[in-house]
Amino acid sequence: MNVGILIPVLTSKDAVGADALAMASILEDLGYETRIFCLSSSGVERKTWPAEELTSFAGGPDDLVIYHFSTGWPAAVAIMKRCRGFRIVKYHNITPAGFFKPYSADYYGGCEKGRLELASIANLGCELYLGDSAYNLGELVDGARSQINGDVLAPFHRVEELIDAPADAALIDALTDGAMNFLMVGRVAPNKGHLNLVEAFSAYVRGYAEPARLILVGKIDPRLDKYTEAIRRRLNELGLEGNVLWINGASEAQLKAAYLSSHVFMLMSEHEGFCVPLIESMALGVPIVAHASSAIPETLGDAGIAWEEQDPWLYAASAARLFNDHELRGDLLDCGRRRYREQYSNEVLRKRFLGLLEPVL
Amino acid sequence: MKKAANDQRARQIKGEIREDAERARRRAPTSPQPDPIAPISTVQPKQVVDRFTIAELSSAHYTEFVNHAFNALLRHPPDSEGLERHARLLARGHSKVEVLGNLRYAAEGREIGVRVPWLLPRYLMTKISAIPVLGYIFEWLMCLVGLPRILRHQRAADAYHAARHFELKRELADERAATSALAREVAHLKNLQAQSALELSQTSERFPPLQQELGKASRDIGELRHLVLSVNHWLASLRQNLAALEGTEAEQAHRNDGLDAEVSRRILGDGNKDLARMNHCAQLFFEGLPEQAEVLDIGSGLDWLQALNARNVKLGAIEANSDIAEHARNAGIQIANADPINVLARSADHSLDALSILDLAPLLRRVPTMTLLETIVRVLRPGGKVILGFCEQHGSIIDHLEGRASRTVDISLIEQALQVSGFVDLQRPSAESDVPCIIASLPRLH
Repeated sequence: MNVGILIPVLTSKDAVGADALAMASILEDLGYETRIFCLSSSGVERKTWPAEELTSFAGGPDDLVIYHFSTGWPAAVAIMKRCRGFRIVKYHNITPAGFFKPYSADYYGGCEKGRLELASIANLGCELYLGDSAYNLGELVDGARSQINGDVLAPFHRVEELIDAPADAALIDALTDGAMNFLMVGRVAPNKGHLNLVEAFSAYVRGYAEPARLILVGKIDPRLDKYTEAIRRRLNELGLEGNVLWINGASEAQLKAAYLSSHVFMLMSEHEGFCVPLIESMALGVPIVAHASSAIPETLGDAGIAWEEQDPWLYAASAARLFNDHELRGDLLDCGRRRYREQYSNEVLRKRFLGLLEPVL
Repeated sequence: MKKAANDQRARQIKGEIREDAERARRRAPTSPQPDPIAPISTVQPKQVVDRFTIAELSSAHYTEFVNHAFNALLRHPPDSEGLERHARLLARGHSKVEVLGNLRYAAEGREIGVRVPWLLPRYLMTKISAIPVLGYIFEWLMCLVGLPRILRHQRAADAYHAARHFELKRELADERAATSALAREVAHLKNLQAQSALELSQTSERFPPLQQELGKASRDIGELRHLVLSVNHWLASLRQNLAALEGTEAEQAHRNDGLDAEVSRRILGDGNKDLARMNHCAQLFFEGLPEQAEVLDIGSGLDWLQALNARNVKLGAIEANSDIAEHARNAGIQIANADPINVLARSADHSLDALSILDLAPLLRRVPTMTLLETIVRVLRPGGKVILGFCEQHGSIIDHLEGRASRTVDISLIEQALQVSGFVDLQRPSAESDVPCIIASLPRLH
């Protein structure tokens, strides 16, 4: 049996790429010849093959194909149709296009096409559909005309590597100056709720009069400059530009330093298919305050404080409570570590993945 | 149950947070006045530049120009396809203005909306030039109008290329010099390589004898190992034999002790006659001794010990023969199995009232008579008594080995020695007996 993993763009640092690479590694360890097929790759040492060659390698009736669906890619639908073996679609979610409408027509069009493709994928009749979360799987089920064989498998991640990686000591020194650090990790994109986060941070600064810093770790996309500008503008209006640290394209050492130095991880995202930074926070011991949207409540569980409302004062007060109530803080950190260990560690995910593959292995 | 309790606690905490949020909202100032914190230098989002001149955008050449144009007008670097397409346009003689216009007025460029003054008319002119026939005439007219400027550019280009040619020649000369230096270095390295190869082959030649030596050493080690194993085996056998011999020796010693005890019993306590004689001796020996007198007996046999024990004395006894000692112990007598010479040497001065040694010969074979008597005088109190017996015993095996078994005891000499040592009242209670003895006393203090 040959295994083909299909992914539009393979990068080691994003969640989808890490998931695909981990699956390839697990299947190779089991002795199956596994290749990753994509349009392009970056930052990955592993050899990749052009997507159109997948069917000649793993298109047979005894082969296994896993498609990581995270963006509109009509060619992938055609490739999956030509495969005759066991086909798996791993759905990582596509951000609803509406988030991008005020900021980028390019993104808006891409996401809209991707969302439209969701129905085509759901109706391919693949042997197994996997969602990063029940929320993701629900979107696939909604898009399918008939019942699909689906299950939930959280994405493999690089949290263990992050735990083992050295932290940027200079950055830790700079960040441990007595100010309370609010951390947000995620690309600078409209669905991530940065503007609401700025409001919540501002509420804390105004309401609690404590020195505080907002650390924004995430890639700044030039195609979303309008959104970045909107954040900057709002920070200027609130007089908070000096209290914000942007870390664009953070290295692993910087990311770890940011986690280790932060007092709260605040997530105001309005749409997440899973949210790997949440489990990074759990594993690295940062208490979480989050907006209970999309898949966030499912990933977070009881390991943080979640609000359905977007009232910034609630988030500010939650952070203040965590800073002062050490018992609550300790309980949440314990819950987070336990949740990570029992549900999201790569070993747990590996066993679950192999269990799901049992019919074909 | 636990989950319900947790939910209850979570609800309670959230209620408290809500109340706190309301309080914070009410007390917060309308305009934020954040506390100052130390600035940290890290990667900040770049300030967006949304205006460029054509000259700024055109300063670079070929792919560098395309990269710069993408970053400026679309705010991201070109993908490989975009870079190749626009570089190909430039290579085919299209103008930079056309490339800039293509990017700026594409859907993505329009959305970003970077301002480039005078780009639109110039871009339109390049597009008009692309119209068949009309475009050619238009371009011809434009060139005609711009001929003086073109000539000026041509002259400037000539000067530039001449200067560039000169620079290139100089750089070429430098490169040649560097190349020749590298060639010399390569030649030197080749020499080194040849030398290394030679040394390697010489070294290789030394390997066969070394291997032979190694083989021989391995064989020697094998033989040595065999020998060591044999010696080990031999030592193990020797250890077993020694253990067997030691066992036999211990058994023989025990048997000897039994025989000695039997001989003593026969000599000292055989028959009523001997018993009466022994009681008579004991009676004489105890005459004049105080109540609870401290008496030490050395190797006199079980019957004598029983005779002493029957009297009102504090009796201690030393017996080297383990069999007799065991019998005495069974008869309720306190007895130590020790060397009598050592016991006497370690006894305190004037610590005994009486001392009985009914078999003096073995002691006299080990220490001189006068030394023994001096020791006896030392340990006896004034008025103390001693009884010395003389059995007709052959020496032990050790005595024979050490050449003292043939020494005989002359009783009259012993009597003289006792007198010399200060003993008085010498008595020989059974001069006719086979086992004669002497009783003597030390003078009392007045």
